[in-house]
Amino acid sequence: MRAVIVGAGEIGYHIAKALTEEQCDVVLIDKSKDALHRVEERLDLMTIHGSGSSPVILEKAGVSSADFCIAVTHDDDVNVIASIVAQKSGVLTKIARVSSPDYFSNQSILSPSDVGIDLLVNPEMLSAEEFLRLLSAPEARELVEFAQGRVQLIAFQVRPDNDLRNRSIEDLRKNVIRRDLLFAAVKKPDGSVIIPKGNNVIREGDELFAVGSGESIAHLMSCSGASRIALERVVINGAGRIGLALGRMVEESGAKAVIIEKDRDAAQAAAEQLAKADVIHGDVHDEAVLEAAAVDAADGFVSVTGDDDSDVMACVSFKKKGCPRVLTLIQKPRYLPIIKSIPMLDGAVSRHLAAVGAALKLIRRGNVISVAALHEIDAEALELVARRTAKAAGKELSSLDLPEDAIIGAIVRDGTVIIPKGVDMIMPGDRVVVFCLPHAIQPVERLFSG
Amino acid sequence: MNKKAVAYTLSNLLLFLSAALAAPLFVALYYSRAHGETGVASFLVSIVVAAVVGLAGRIILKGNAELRNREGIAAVALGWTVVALFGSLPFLFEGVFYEPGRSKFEEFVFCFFESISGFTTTGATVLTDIEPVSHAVLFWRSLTHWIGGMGIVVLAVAILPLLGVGGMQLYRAEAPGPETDRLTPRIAQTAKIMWGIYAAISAAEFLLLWAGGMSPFDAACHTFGTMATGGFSTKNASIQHYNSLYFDIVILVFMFLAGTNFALHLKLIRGDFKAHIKDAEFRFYAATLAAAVLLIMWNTMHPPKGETPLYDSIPEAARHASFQVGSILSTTGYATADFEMWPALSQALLVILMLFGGCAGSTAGGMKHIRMMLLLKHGYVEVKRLVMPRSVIAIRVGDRVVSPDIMKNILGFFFLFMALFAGATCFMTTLGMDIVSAGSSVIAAMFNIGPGLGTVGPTDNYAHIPILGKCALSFCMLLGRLELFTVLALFAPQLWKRR
Repeated sequence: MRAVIVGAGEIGYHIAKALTEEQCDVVLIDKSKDALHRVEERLDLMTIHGSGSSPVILEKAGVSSADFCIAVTHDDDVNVIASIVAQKSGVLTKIARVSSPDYFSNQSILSPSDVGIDLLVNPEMLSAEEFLRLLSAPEARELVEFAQGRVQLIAFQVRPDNDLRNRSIEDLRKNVIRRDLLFAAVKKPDGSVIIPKGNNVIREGDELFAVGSGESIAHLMSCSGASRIALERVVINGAGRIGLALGRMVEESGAKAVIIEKDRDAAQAAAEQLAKADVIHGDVHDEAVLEAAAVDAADGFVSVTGDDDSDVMACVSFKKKGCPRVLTLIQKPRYLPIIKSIPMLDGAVSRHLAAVGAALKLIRRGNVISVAALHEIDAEALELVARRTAKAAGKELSSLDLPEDAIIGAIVRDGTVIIPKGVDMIMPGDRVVVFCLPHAIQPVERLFSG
Repeated sequence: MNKKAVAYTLSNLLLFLSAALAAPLFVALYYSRAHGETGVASFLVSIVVAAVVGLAGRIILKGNAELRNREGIAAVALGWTVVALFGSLPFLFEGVFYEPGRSKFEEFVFCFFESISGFTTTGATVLTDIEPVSHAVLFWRSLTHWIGGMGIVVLAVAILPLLGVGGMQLYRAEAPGPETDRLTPRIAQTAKIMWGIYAAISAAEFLLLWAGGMSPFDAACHTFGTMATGGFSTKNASIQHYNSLYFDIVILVFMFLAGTNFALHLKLIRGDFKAHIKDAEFRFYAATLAAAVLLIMWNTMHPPKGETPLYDSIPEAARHASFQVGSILSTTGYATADFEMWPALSQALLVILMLFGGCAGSTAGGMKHIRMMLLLKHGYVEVKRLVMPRSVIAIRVGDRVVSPDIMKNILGFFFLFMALFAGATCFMTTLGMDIVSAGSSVIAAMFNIGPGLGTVGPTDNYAHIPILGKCALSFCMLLGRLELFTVLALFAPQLWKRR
């Protein structure tokens, strides 16, 4: 497999990293030599210096023999042109990052398929969606849905007030959690990740990754003593693309959106676009503005100005003021581990990683239906269909040749969720959620493909 | 620097070396059956030693495979030293350099010199009489050339998947030339292709030599010597031993090919028949060769007044001039004529050619033609800038613009080469060598050629050089093979600091 990636920014780097780990040949194009150099130091790939919108450069990168063209520069125009060139060169799958909603606003005139784009990746829209998921699932640091929401994967940290604390997995299994729930992994505060066994005890500060049916996840969360917040009022700091998209989603869910924006023109634009939202012009760190936003009545606060330092500070001050749930946008993915260690923050979303997940999902299709990159522990959750001729089909799990760093989280058969034990079998047509480290993805895929 | 990761890589290289040592073991087995020669035990012990140390390292340091820039540099520079060290074991166990009255340490220095001269494809020998030495040892001696020619680390990258991420670092630190071509997205694939072409051209030369009447053993050894641009022969008189026009031509052609960028050979194989002609460096390389041959032909046929012409006919002069020039230019070091008997101009020309070396991306040593070309252009641009102070001039090779960073790198490289050359020459004269021998021995070692002038000429060897001189020349060979920077980086304290 050969992939040409245009843009060596955070998104390009992370896609390249995932693909090289899966033994895909990667050629990376960027205008900045420094950016290319940084990637070359870390990954085994070829780099080409030049503009990704130039057919000459793309040809030099071997686009005509590539299976994928992934254009993810900051510049929508470059990405679209690169996709057109790739289309003309016969590349099968083209993925383009397009942030501006204007391009394809009227798809009867121009649609992505007209210019050969198979998947539009809009990082701003994707992160807005993730914010909404995190807002409506309290305590969750990550929440991923599989099989139309029948299977969920949740990641949450055990707080000092959590009732699961200081109990063994065995005890929880017998007395608390439902049978269709599985603890897939526990990340200890020191950063190590373990696959929990019966005698492991859950401690304060642990991060739990649980897979199960939607109901069992809801049950688990209620058992853990976390009170569910009914979303009524969400304060959004920053009326950029993410802020506006999130505001619209909050409105659609029936809650009230309050938008704070420093720039008068941007605030004016937000007011024009969002009919029901309150838009406040001012600095979030200003007392008067906070008062106007009626912070004490907010169920959630999301800071998406794009300035990491300011966003984090805003979140912390909102938490201090008693906002139950504060989330921040993170520009630099390498800040994520640091952010997670700030106990006052309830979650962080990186638009880059959101886009990476969306792109990888398409690249790995075949029998993989969806993929979620779990930023917390550098693991991925795959949803696959077991083919009729698959090696895994018709076998008991205990006799399956599963890679060491992979576990089967759930099986969905005829609409019911099975949390498998060693004696359970995988039947052809089953949807299987597998939780694994990046290097185990390929062997897992091979097990389930024909 | 992550020292464990470096040590882990070194262990892998040792395992690799022990596998390579199996080849001479088979030769030893054959010749011990057929002719009662020794060598089986020595090679067996060498294999075991290298394998045990390598395995121990691998097991102890398991999980330290990730190499960043610094580790890559250190792994290559130390890797070559370690490989040369363990590669000298067969010489030591076999007692090739044993002489009554020679201390164990002196004997070991002889062995190490021969080994590193082999791996760096220099071809400077300390063997005074080659022919009585057992076949297995001679085979190993030539095989070290072949392994070192394309690069032992590149070979390891090609075969061992575990060098994945750090592969490019290693590759860059070892590959000759100012810029490294990456032929394919995956570095292991690039390395495999390079070795594939190298092996294929080697096979062609082997067949041609064998068909011309050389014994398979000699054909193999001379193929290794030619393709790696090394220069070890199995005969005391080198290629002159055969006195055959056919062998001269075959070896000349393959020396020339080995001194060419292998990426061009790949393009040719892929169907771009004009690849060589289109390449500016190759054109310069071919032109240098042609010009030097013509000048030396003229000079040897019409020497200054008072000397007698060496060659009477044009074909004879052409044959000897072209072989010697091809041998020196590609830094091989095979000889069919004693060029010390040539007139002074011809000798001076040969010394200048020694600096040039082959092309970037070849197995040859020296400065490489691309650098020489850019230095010439740079000099020209400086003159032009003096006349037209406001002009902005981009230096080009063919239609590619060379960035100022690369130009600076080349200027620094040239300066270091000259400085080290001057320093090493002074050092050699303090050991009692005359200036011509001292200077040419340093050039011959640093540019991986082999024979020099004076007491280290094409009919002489390096056995008489004092022990300290042998050590200094060994270091020069390593410097030259890894193109200075990689080795000199070992002396930068920053390399050893934890990050």
